[in-house]
Amino acid sequence: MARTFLVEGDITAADTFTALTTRGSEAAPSVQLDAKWKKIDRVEASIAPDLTAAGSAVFILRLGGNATKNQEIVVGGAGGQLPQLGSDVAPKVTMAFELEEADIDVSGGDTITVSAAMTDTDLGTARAVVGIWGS
Amino acid sequence: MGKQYRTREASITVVDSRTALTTLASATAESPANIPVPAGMSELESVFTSFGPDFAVVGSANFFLRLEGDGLKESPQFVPAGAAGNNVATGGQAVILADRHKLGIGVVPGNTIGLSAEMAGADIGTVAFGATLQFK
Repeated sequence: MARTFLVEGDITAADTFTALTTRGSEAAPSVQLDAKWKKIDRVEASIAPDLTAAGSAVFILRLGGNATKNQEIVVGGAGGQLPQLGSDVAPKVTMAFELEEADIDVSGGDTITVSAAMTDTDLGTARAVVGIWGS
Repeated sequence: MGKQYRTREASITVVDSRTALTTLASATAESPANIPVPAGMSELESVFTSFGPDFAVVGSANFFLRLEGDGLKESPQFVPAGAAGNNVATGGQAVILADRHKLGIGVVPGNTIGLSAEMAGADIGTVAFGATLQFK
């Protein structure tokens, strides 16, 4: 039987792993996996910056905590220049990166830490959401 | 044993030049420049790549990853990562999903793999580049 887990959060600084600890209306959801978890089968992640600052970055997801050894996965990139004064730029939309057949060992009953980093340049505020499917 | 994931990144600032991917955001101390093949792993199943150009310069470029080292049973290996271009130096922006490249290359646990990326064609500014090795 599939199990799911989701957290989201904001990344506001470059080159720092930021823990994703919220779930929309849930300010502090539990990050303890139930005892039946043995594997992470799939990971989906979507991260997009507001590009209020010019530059370039890639986004790296880290899964860690007591439930699993640290695993880092690049999930996307972004970059650009600010438009000329008085000009607009079309919004940027990205769908979720999907890691199928992830096959990551986890220990059920322990806590998982999901964090993400925006490398190289601070592009403003990046919003991140990560879903995990397990068995 | 489950799969293992290792990632490195860097900024490419020069066209047609190797840029070693040696860092991992703030996790510098725990991430040696070259990636040790984890114990118990026998294959580099896939590589994931992504990049983010700042489009500071008009032009177009392609991007690729090079994998080298005694951690690979056959070295070097190459992976195309994508291409990008822009015709104005004010306002070009992009958000890019990571891409998976299946490989199936034998690896040697304990030995290391070095990653480098290149921007080829024209210099379109500074480009952040990241790559993840998926071992099984």
